[in-house]
Amino acid sequence: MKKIFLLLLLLASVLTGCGQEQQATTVAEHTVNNSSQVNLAAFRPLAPGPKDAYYCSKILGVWESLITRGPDGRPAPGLATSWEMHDGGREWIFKLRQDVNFHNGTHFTADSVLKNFDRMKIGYKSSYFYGMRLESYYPSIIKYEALDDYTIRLVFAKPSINQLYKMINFGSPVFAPECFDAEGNFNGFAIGTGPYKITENVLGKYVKLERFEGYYGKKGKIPCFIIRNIPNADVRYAALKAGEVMGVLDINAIPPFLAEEIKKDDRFAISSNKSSMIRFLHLNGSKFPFNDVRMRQAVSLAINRDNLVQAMYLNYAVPTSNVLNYTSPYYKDIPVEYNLAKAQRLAAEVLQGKRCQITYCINGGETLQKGEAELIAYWLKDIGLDVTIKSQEYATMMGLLRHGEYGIARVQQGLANGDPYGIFYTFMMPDGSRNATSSSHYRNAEVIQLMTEVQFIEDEDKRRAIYDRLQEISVQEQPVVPLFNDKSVVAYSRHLKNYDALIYGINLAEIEWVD
Amino acid sequence: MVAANDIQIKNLYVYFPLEQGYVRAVDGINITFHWGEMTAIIGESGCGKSILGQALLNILQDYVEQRGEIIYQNVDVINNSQAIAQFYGKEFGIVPQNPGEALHPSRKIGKQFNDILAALGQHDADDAIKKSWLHFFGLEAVDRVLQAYPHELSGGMQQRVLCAMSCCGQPKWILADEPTKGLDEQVCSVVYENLLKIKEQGQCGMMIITHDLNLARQVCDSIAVMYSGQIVEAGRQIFTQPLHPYTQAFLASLPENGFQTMAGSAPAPTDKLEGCKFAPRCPYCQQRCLEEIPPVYQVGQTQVRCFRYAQG
Amino acid sequence: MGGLMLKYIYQRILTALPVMLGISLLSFILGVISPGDPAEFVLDRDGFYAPTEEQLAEVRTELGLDRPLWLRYASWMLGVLQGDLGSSYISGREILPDILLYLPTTIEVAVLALLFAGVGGICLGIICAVYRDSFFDQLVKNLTNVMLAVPSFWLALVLILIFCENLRLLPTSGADTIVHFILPAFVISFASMGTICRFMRGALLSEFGKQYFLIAKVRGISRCKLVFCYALPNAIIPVIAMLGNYFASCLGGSIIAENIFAIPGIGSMAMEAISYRDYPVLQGYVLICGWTLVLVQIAVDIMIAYLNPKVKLGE
Repeated sequence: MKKIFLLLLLLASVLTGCGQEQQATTVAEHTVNNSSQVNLAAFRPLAPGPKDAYYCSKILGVWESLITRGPDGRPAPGLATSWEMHDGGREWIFKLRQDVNFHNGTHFTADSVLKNFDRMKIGYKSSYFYGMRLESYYPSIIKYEALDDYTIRLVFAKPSINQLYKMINFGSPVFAPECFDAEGNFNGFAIGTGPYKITENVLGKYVKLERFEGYYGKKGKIPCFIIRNIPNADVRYAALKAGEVMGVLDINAIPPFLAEEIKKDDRFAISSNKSSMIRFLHLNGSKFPFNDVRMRQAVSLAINRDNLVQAMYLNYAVPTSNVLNYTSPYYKDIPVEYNLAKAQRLAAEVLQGKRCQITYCINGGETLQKGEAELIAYWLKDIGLDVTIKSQEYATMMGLLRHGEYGIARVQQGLANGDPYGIFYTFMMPDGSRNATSSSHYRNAEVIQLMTEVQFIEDEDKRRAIYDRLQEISVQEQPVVPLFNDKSVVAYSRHLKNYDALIYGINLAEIEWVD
Repeated sequence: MVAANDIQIKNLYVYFPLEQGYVRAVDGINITFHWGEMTAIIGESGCGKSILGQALLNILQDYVEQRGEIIYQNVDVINNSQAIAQFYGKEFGIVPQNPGEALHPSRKIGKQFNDILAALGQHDADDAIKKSWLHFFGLEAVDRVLQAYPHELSGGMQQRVLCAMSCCGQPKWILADEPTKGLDEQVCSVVYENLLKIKEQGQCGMMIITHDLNLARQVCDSIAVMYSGQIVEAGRQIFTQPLHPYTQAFLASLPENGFQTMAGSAPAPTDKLEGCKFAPRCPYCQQRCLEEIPPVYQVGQTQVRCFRYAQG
Repeated sequence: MGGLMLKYIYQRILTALPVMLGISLLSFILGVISPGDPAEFVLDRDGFYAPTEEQLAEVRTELGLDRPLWLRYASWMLGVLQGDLGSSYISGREILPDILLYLPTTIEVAVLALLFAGVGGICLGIICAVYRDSFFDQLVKNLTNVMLAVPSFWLALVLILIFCENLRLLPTSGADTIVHFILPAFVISFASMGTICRFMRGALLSEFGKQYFLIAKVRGISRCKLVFCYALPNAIIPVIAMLGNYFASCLGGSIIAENIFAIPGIGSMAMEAISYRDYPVLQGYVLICGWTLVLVQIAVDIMIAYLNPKVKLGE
């Protein structure tokens, strides 16, 4: 008996021994919510830390970029106040703000920007959000230099007329050069120019933000935010209802059915906005039957997107068959067609009366995809396709796509900035990355011609006309089959005010406490 | 005649429920064990002696069924489980068959001994009581023994320890189950010695279950012969005047009497016989023997279960 | 304790060394034979970029994927023995510091789960054995069936609903204080509690039927002593072995509990590594878990030897 007690004692001491390592003293303080400190929750760590190219998401308001997204989706001044384009897009000059300081007190100048370019030049840096690659954001850049303390000049080998779009948000981040080491990796917290600075970052658990008193613009109203990482949607919801967090943010913050639930509770509210995420189906264009455009059209016509969006997503999404997301300023609202008879006719022409077995790959990690796939399979049955749904993990699915071993695959694409060129390129050009990595084999001579042309056209109206035409082609030929544009939905306690969903995240600086 | 501390067994049946049906290990035993005497229960392997012993001590496993009565001090111990806890268990000492299994494997001897003494209401802080009992049964290195675990002692030592444990409570009855099984001659003589010592120690009754006839002859006052779950003969003069045909045949098969083997073999546990169990092998077998179970007849001081001794 | 115990400990450790070597080989091979190309993942996390063959080849050389297997194994093992498990393909972070960062959290949850399963299971088992076939015993017998069948994520969500959302007794998630670990540990230990209870009950009942126990019972030794000093120390030995294995498996981290309760432990670290085919992290994880299991088994064996003296003699 004594021996057993001894062993139990040993175990208990191991337990408490481990427990001591936690910062137990500050925990109680962390969980309080009031006008000086607010807890929020997101499904992923919004500050992945030093090994991430950006350290944290732009949502946190820690770092800012030269160019941001305006309310209409067009490039708007950020740390750059104005710009000029010369030489057909081969030269860009940016004038910078003169009243900006970093969180560590140092002054923001052209030199800070150049050091950030130097950092990007070192090489590819991976990130949870978007990979940082100089060539992606500044294709064919030859030179970057300062013309004076607050002016910089970028020189390109090839025209980059839509350069501003590429630079929106993640394309032109500015960090204080002191926070990098020689390899361009963070040697501590990220130091930016935004309204909030990071004071604590416990990886995988939470990040603590404090108001930056030296901010040049409208200072944050709430002095301190603690953004927690809660991966499970139901638990996030429970934390919100239990009062542990005052709001949820970022993509997938709250699923549609829980959003409807929480609306019924007077203590909470939701806010939604357009999202730059588009959900669509890849069709394997490298083999029969999807190598025939008629079959792809048939699939698109057979899917009742209104029904899908209403049944599966409770109208927290907007149907589309356009490959360009509706947050882009060049978006053309082309009506979505649903016509089963026409679909059957087109399918019959391709299938010649036979039925075809198709595998439909979905991401096992996302719960709603299964129901959606079953609904779509049900519709496709009517046009001669017998669909087998395969639920897989992300990596395996990507592998299958690359090697063309699939029929249909359900994926998504975010629009990092408003730039339609990138989207058209990736989906519709033969060497576009999405096209290549999904074995789509889509090739259209008119598209190639238009895309080459638009690189040199400066006139806005002409550009718009080309982009309109490209969208029409995408709707007609369905190189991929878009299903719907997402809506970003967030939920919050009514103790908070101005908790509005933006196209990307929320504006932490605007949020206020209501007693 | 049932004296005060006698143990009276009436119509005892012990059943083992097995797949093949019920096996009667003890098949109708009526006998009185007299206090103050040493009674040997002898018989071949498998005749049910050990089960009888376990039934007497009430250490049969839960799934075994018992029928009948065991009456001690006017209380039927089988049907009165409280009696066991209160007094019956303490009145009994056990010298079990397999000493290794009768001792707690991971508790030191001294501690186990203390548990028993505590149950008897005795406290032995300086180990004096324990040591004296261990000495009594011939153990020399008592300190080492008290500090040892059972598996660190030899079989003989374990047995002596068990004897000590059983006797320390001055029990009224002792049951020794095959005390000399598997032991060589020298150790056997030690065992005989121990048992005689116990007899000398105080007033008690003893039952010795054994197939060692030397032991029975040397040490015991009366003998009961078991065959296939029944006692076929019980008395004081078994060796000189065997009455039951089985006893006669049994004695005839001893080395000193010429190794005359018995024909046939004992019934299997699952066999169901209508009449006398020994009838198929009995030289005196009659029709009646095959059909009826012979009751117990009194012949002088001996009791015999055989139709040959039926009066009239 | 003394010389015999020490000798036993040395022996035990010695026999464990080849096992640990085997584990290192297996964890290395695991990473190598898994399908999926890490070079593709390093270059194309977000699906926005189609790397060319040259770029992929370059990354492969950088990661050392083109060297012969035995050389890769040898250099990896060399690093391991010096405390360097290499760096993640995806994040570039060093693996051992990351594991050591997440491990204490997992250990805390695991120890608490062990206490729940062990203490809870053993107590329930003792009560059931002592009051065999009573109403409580029947209830628990049926309850353990349910406990084994209940899916842990469902249990977790239900408990969160009751204790956190409605009763506000416990926090919904997070991993700050020990209070945060109560629910996850309970959820993890739930099924094992049922198993241990049944096992304990069976082992105790088996002891109750043994000669030494029956004799001790007849001798009038007190019931309490019989259960706790006679039957339990012998019956508990296989249970301790079970608990040891259970604890070791908990140390691998429970993916479900970590995801639901937002606990950054090594389970989620491993999940992410699997999703992105981050071989070095997986190898490191399997190695650490395997070696920890071996160490825990050694500890359990030593504990058992302490409780049951026969073992030291090699019986």
